[in-house]
This record gives sequence, structure tokens and C-alpha cells, in this order.
Amino acid sequence: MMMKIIGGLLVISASGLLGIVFSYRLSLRYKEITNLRRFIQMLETEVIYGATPLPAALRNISNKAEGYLRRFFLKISEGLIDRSYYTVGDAWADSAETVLMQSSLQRSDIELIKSFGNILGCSDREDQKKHFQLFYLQLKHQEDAAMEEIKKSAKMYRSLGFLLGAAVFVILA
Amino acid sequence: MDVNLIFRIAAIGIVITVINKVLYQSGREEMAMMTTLAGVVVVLMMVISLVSNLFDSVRTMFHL
Repeated sequence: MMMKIIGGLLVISASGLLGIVFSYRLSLRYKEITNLRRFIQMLETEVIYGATPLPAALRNISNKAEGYLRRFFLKISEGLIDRSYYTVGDAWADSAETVLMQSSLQRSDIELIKSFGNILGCSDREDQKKHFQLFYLQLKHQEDAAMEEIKKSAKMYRSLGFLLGAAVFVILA
Repeated sequence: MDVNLIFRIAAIGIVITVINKVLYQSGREEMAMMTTLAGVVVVLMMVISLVSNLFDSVRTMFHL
């Protein structure tokens, strides 16, 4: 009897925690997109007004960022300084693939970020500015989608975790 | 035949109802439908041996 109760508590708390982790991941995605937008804005300032070369600008930004974004910017900057890539787009895409894949960003977010890397540093300031604006719009769209998802599913994941745990416990007990 | 089974079925009913409500509220009607169906199937699995017992005893009682 005692074992049964302990096992049931373990099952319920495990699946409840799983639900909480899922809903936390949703809110983490929103936070990461917002952060990314902020740092891209910093990058725009560096590029448009400071006219800093891209490796140095990326290094400055990586000093301010933290977590996955820090590693993302740092990897691009290092790749550019070491000259291990042919273009900025390659470095950007490779860094997005290896670093951002581990974060909570979704496939569509990463594809968007990769497509921005192809344009970065390929034209004059005015044109870059336009591309930055476009990228902000796209990121904003993604951000809204993430927010929508949070509203729709975060609460559901949390309660569903506990409830499914309870269901498993009742069926097995 | 034990009373435990009845309580268990009742508990499954309650949990499935709440899951159904939660899913319905977050706009996943088809998933709510699926959980309800899953609950029905699970309970049916529990009860099916008892039902067959009942049929057997009816058959033996009336020598069919």
C-alpha cells in the first residue's frame, strides 16, 4: 500500500513537471525572440551609425548578451576573425544551426534568422537599414505568434501534465 | 467482483472529464474527443471480462 502511494506520487509529479517544462519552454521561446530583436537593434546601431566592422560589432554584442545568444554571436565573430568561412552568411548559418538549435527557438525562427545572415554585410548602409527594418517586422510577427501560442497552450500543458499523471496512476493502481 | 473496480472507473471518469474540459477550453475540440474515446476504451477493457462473465452465467442459468 505504501509502495503504491509512493509510486503514484512519483508518476503524478513526474508528468506534472513535464507539463511545467513544456509550458516553460513556450515562454522561453518568446523571451529569446524578444532578446534577439534587442541585440539585432544594437547590431544595427553598430553597423549603421558606428560603422564598426562586423566581427568587432558582433563581439561587442556578444559581451552584452548572455546564454545561447551570447554563444551565437561569439561563434560568428570568432569564425569571421579566424577566416574559417567564405562569407558572413555561411558563418551566420552555421552558428545558427549549431548554437540556436539547442535553444527553445523553433525551426521557423531559425530559418528566418539564417535568411537574415545572407544579407548582412553585403550592401551599403541604406540598403542594410532597410533589411534590418524588414527583419524587425518578421521577428515581431514571430514574437506575436509565440505570444499567441503561450496564451493558448501554456496553461493547458501545465494542467494536462498533472491530469495525465493522475489518469495513469488511476489506470495502473 | 470487488467494489474497487467501481471506484477506479469513477476516478477515470472524473479525470477524463477534467481533461476534456481543459482541452475544450484551449480550443482543441478534436483532441478532447480523442481523450473521451480513449477513456471509454480503457473502461471497456476493464469491464469486458465482467460482461463476458455475466453472459456466461446467464447462458448456464437458462441452459442455452
